[in-house]
Amino acid sequence: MTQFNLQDALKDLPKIAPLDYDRPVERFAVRWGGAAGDGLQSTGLLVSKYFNKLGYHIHGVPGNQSAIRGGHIWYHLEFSTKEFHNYDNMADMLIALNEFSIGMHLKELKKKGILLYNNSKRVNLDKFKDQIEEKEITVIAVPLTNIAREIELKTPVLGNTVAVGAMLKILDLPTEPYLETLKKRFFTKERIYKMNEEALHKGYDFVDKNTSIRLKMASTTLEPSHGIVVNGNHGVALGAAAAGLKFLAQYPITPASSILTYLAKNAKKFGIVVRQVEDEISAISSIVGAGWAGVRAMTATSGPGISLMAENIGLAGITETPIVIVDSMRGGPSTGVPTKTEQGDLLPVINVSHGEFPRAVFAPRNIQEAYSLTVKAFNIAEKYQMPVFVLVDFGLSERLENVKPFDFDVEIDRGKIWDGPTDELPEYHRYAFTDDGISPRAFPPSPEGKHIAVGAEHDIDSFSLAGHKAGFPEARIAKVKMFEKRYRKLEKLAKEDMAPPKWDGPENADYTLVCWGSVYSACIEAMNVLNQQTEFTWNVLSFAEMYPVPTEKVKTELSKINASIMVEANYTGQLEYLLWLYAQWRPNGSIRHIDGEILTATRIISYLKDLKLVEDPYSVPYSIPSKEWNDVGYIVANKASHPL
Amino acid sequence: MVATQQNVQLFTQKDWKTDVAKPTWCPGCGDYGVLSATRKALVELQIDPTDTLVISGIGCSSNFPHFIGGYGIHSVHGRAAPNAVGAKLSNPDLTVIVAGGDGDGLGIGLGGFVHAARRNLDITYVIMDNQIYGLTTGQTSPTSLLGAKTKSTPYGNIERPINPISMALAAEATFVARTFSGDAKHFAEVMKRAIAHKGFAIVDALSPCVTFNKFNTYDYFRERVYKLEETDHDTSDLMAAFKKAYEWEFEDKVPIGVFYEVQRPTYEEQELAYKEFGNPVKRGPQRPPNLKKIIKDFY
Repeated sequence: MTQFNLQDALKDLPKIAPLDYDRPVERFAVRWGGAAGDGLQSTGLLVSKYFNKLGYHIHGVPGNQSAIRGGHIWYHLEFSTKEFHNYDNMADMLIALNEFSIGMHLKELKKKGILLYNNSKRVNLDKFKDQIEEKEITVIAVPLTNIAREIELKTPVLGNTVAVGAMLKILDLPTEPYLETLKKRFFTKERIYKMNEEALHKGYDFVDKNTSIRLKMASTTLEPSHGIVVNGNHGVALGAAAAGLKFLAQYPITPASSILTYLAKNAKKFGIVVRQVEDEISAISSIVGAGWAGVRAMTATSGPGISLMAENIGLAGITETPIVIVDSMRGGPSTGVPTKTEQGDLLPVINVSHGEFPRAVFAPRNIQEAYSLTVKAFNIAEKYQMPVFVLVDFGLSERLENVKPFDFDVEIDRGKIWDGPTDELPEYHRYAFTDDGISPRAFPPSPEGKHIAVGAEHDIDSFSLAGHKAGFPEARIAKVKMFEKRYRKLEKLAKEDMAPPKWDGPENADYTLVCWGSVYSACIEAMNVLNQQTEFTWNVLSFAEMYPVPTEKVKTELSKINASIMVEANYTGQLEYLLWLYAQWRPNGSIRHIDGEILTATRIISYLKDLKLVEDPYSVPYSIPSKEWNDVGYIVANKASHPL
Repeated sequence: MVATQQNVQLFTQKDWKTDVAKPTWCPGCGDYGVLSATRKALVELQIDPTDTLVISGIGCSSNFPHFIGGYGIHSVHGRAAPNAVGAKLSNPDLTVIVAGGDGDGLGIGLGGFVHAARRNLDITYVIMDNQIYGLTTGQTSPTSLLGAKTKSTPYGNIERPINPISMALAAEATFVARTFSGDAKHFAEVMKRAIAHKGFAIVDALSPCVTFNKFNTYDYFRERVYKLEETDHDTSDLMAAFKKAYEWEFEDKVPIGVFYEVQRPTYEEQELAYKEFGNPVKRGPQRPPNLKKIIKDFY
């Protein structure tokens, strides 16, 4: 094969079909735009639950700003008769609560799409006349706010429920399941339920009386209520609970806060000590204390918190204390863009804290893995007695999806805990030298296990080598042996417990998209489109078990690639760096997506159109993206000005 | 855990000694007094070393856990208090003592110190206060007095010192005391009361640095200390405690003894997670029995 110039093949892609009013709709996307405080997120959740009830597969994605009231926010909800992996940019219907939302989102409305706007507020549609005509947009004006005010003067957010009613009529779908969803949501608040019920009917009736625009949803291939409607942070929180979490210390930070608030709400029920502490330093310090004391302990944060936690992560490393740290990545560095997504913390967590010590890093690809890899993180933390990171990101933490209910009967592996003398270890030494580097842990009130865990380098009994012994020959030997012991654990972990990257799509494809973490979902969607719409075959090789890199397994999989495009949501190519370091492997081209929005199939394809791949990536000297790269034709498509 | 048998000495001084031959402190260091008084208090209270955790940060005094029996964590600089909070909440049956210097607790660790205090966990925090950075060979500390000449303030300290007693009172600690390592008997008595106190107890332990602090010496303190127990000081009166806290500064007298003591519900007593399930570490890692029920929330 080796068709390295993709531009011709991708010229007309992606082919986005106009909204078809004559055939049953299999997949439908609605974009909701309004002001922060308009209640879009809670409506998004209710509508998602509604479509789950009917048996559609759903994705809900919030577009947030760091504004509590008044900024522009949007919500993208997509539902389908078949399972899908990721939402896409283009919407079939735009519900605009204000004029700003029309201006912001009209360009992402498909041809012949529906614009439903709130004409209770002054909206100058003339501004958008050209676009509306060109794309043959169907415009429906509904006085959402006025209808809401008729029901209850002080509750304009009811306008959302009016809009839901209008949408259900257009889609010719039943209102009853939505009322059930509302009833469950407001089961102690009869009055609020009644108001919403009225709003729903009024929206429905308005469309019934005033417009004949109708669509017909295709019947779904999935079971009604086949999934649970959860986001990525629910996956992490429930994974931790199932794994036997007993202590969570956290400081609020976007996008990790909902892990704290969800577990705080259920702390009593789950028997988990949940504490909001004074800062991230205290969060990590207290989970090190808790992990040392013998419970499963976790903190969750985002990049800025990781920076603050660095020192105690090292303490967990040298004292071989099991802890789990969740990093929900957001735009960085520093404050960055807190409500936008990025994969910028992979290399930072692999290297965080001074000195060298083993740790493990997992990056779930989707909500199911946010659950299962959090469980695994606890087992690895205790089995190997080390800090373990779970890397999610804004796009995964906040994405809503109906997934198969989690299996709570998970395996628990606590690793070696001192349980009296054995042939190998006739007496207790906290850091006894063993073949695999793992020494049995002990914690109070084990009478034989008494020791002082110390952040200083130490001998097998945890006596400090930093004081009166520093520099003496026996201390120098002990120090070397202790490093070797700790790194034997990492070797074993890489060999025995780190899964290789995963293949999706046809074997031996012409092109492979290589990715990690949450970007996976968009890659799968892009692969499906490309397999349908180009003459080439495409597959995806994705990583979730990031570090330690199981080098041999990774090399084997990479060797199966014909031509590759790396897809990451960062500027410098962090997995690319890692693969070069560990496997001396380079892709033929790379997409570095850093604008902060969740990557989609459409975006990937439009990036691909700009890529000119190099035939022999090994001929290119390794560097971060630079002009030099472009000169040799190794284009990195990460331009902020890129269309869409 | 406090042993219940009244007349049997289950635990003796021997149980509180470690294999470390000799502390790393300079001869004459005030920290020796802290160590022997703490051991004495622990024996008198008949506390079980296997149920005891001594946590420290970094500094000369923070080597403390290595010289005392029981479990210990010798943590990083300034984080002993939050480390202790995590361990105590995971195993509320532990007797937890935090020991560290004035720099560790009131400089780099001040945030953790204040927040640990206001939570009122049943923890004893001993500030081994020598008003100098000893391990780094003699720089100013947060409790160095105005005018103190140190290596980093060669022309005299111009920053007002932190007052550990008023800081502890303001941080809502439920037991606030000061003692002096030059008075072994008084020290052991104060430590005993602090450890026995149910709630967050702070002891400001005047512990002279004989090598780097040539001003706040044993003699300096012997000339100024007097015992609150020998006055009519009311330990339940918060305002009186604040007043006493400033005597050193305004009257050049150093009161030692208990400044303030009050009984309030501890954090552990109010933690809902224990109510149904008990001590977390003793439950092991099994998942909550009612986890499956939670799934209905997601439909």
